[in-house]
Amino acid sequence: MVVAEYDPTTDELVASLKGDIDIYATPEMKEKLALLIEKHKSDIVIDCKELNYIDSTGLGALVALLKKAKDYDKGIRIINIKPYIRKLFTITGLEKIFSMEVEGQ
Amino acid sequence: MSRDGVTLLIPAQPEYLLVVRLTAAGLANRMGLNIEEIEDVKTAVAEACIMLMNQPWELEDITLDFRHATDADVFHATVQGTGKTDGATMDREQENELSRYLLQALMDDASIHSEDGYIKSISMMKKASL
Repeated sequence: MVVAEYDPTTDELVASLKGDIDIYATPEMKEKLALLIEKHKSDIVIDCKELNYIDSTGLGALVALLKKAKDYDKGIRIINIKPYIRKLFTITGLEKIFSMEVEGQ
Repeated sequence: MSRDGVTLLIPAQPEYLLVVRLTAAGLANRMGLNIEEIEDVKTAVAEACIMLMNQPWELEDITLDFRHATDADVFHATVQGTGKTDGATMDREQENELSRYLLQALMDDASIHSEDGYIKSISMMKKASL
């Protein structure tokens, strides 16, 4: 699931991914964040502190959301990502297109 | 007949992939794989199911056959889809690109079997590190 809130002090949309973002949970996450990106047109911070699992549909959704953010000249920063999830971004080459910070940084 | 393996038949619906991941992780643990390897197996097996689901066919069931090679700690899985294609061919390989990268990078060996452009089954193996 995703919990998202716009922070006006930093002009960032902070979205916390929780649990499993898989083929079942991805559509809801994608729809929710797409609407918020359209609304706020701000940079997005994806907090993965409580993310335990993400599959290719979740990764694909993040790419689609990044494209949407770029339409407004904004980006996505991924923070607190666990090493074994970061590995999936590395394998798929997606770490090159997202700004990423591993857990504890 | 004794066997060291498990066969799982699931409806081809996204909500059942949690069951697949938990089963794959439990069996990989039993087969002697370490925590990182179990994560790899869990992800790869789920991606194989996603590849089958991500095709424009009437996919009904997915059968997952997990085997343990007892002479070495090796996890084997075959993931097979049963469905109707109405004889139509397709070419939507690109949609499965991320799944394919993950599957091939996370497992020691993975092979994808297609007919008429449709992926019908995927076999994979991972050996436990020493």
